[in-house]
Amino acid sequence: MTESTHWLPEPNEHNRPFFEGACLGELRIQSCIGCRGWMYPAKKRCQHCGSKALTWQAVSGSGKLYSHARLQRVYHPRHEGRLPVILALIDLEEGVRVSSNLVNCQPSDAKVGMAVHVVFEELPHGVFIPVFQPA
Amino acid sequence: MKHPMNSAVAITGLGITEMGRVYRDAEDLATEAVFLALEDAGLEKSDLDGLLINAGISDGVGVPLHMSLGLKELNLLTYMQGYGSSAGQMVQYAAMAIANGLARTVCCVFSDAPLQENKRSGAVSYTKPGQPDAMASLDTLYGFAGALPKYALAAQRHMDLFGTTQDHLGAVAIAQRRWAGMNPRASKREPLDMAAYSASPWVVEPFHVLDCCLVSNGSVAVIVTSAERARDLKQPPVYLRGFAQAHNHDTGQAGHDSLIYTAAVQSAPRALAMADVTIRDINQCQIYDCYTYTVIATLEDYGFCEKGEGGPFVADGRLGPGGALPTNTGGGELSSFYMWGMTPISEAVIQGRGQGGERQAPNELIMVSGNGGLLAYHATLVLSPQAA
Repeated sequence: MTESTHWLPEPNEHNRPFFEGACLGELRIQSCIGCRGWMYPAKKRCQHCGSKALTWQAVSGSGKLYSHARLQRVYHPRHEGRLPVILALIDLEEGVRVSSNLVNCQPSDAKVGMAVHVVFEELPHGVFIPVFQPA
Repeated sequence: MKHPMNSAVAITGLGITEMGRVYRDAEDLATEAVFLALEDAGLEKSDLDGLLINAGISDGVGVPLHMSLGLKELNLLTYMQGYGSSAGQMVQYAAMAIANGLARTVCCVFSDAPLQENKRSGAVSYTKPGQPDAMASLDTLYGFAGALPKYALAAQRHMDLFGTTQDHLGAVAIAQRRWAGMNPRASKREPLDMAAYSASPWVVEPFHVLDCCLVSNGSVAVIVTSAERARDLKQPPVYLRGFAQAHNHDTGQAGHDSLIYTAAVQSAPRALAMADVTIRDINQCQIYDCYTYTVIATLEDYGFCEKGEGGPFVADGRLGPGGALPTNTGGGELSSFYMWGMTPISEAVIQGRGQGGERQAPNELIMVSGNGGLLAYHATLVLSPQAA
């Protein structure tokens, strides 16, 4: 029986660089060519200056935990068998906040301000997504 | 000099339908709430010349409501959406329309019917049709579906930064349950103590089920008219002394502490200035309480205590019956019913009229909040039984 994959992200032209980067072990964030502002998730127009000249940049993947919480119920097939899932907001050192999960960390060890670094989790069909672990 | 909008209008009618697992459609409920509000105010349908409509999660009511109501000649009619701030916004737009001669008597109605038979309430807010784009769908993979996880993240940040505890969150739920025990309309009236709160299942830790509002079917309508006209009507007027809004867009940049400092920071001082009072003059609060944390953050941002002190501030029963700052005296969204911003407004009207019965609290100045999005959309009302 083939694994159900209806829930996998389906990239389009607006966000494909993000998923291609994740496959290569690279965290890419959208940025504005004009004002250099960051956008997460991707936008079609710069939310800072309004420009449509946008690009993608590889970032360091290092940041600090802005906040965290423990998901205690399965709301998605990916959560099966791994509760509590640690929800995380991370302030990357480049200055943009991303939402993700904290992995390889005891829930009680998670603290606001802790240093974290990106790693990539493989989903079925060669899809990779960024998650974070203690640095 | 008195602000021209200070006490220019009053809330004169209140209609509250049955609440909770009431399997009727949102328009049907809205129609009933409007008629209940008219009856309450001692007004006829023909007296209404304005209708403002706000639908909740189920999006089941809109502009055609005026046809169901048979309102043939209106000077003001629209559907509005500012999430949890909508109800406060509707009262504000009604006030400005009345003060400027666009309309005389405006009904503001909220209605929602997300609960379906044989479905858990949790299924309601998490079920979203269609597949969003791939990056947006990441949030679902990570577990960020709906508002709850983001509010849980906000609460946890407050806990890590300021030492706010689980018991502080619990104190909000317990104080409100004590009020709910005196409110015949409240859905949850059985006594609640810290042990029972702590034993309540986790949803997204640090939120137990009992940190979350009660998804409800129902409708609430209020009627706003000029202060002068309100004085001739059946009910004691509840004057709108001050109001304001603030809406903060968090662009997701590091350094924006939007989970800690909400839009209430900007909204409250403007509303208080219009009312020409200070936060120390406020006798009671009706605070939007989608989650326990929302109450703590809003009280801080309104200036009742310093930022970070909200946990200890609520810990000693201050918000409950007999406390120094009676808050959410009907049980709030946590224990009575969740009608978005109409939950705090409806209780403020009951309290402002002095009709709270055994739960009546000092009511000279009532601070009312509406909060939507992720602590981003905010409306404040200052209400009073006395005109300025």
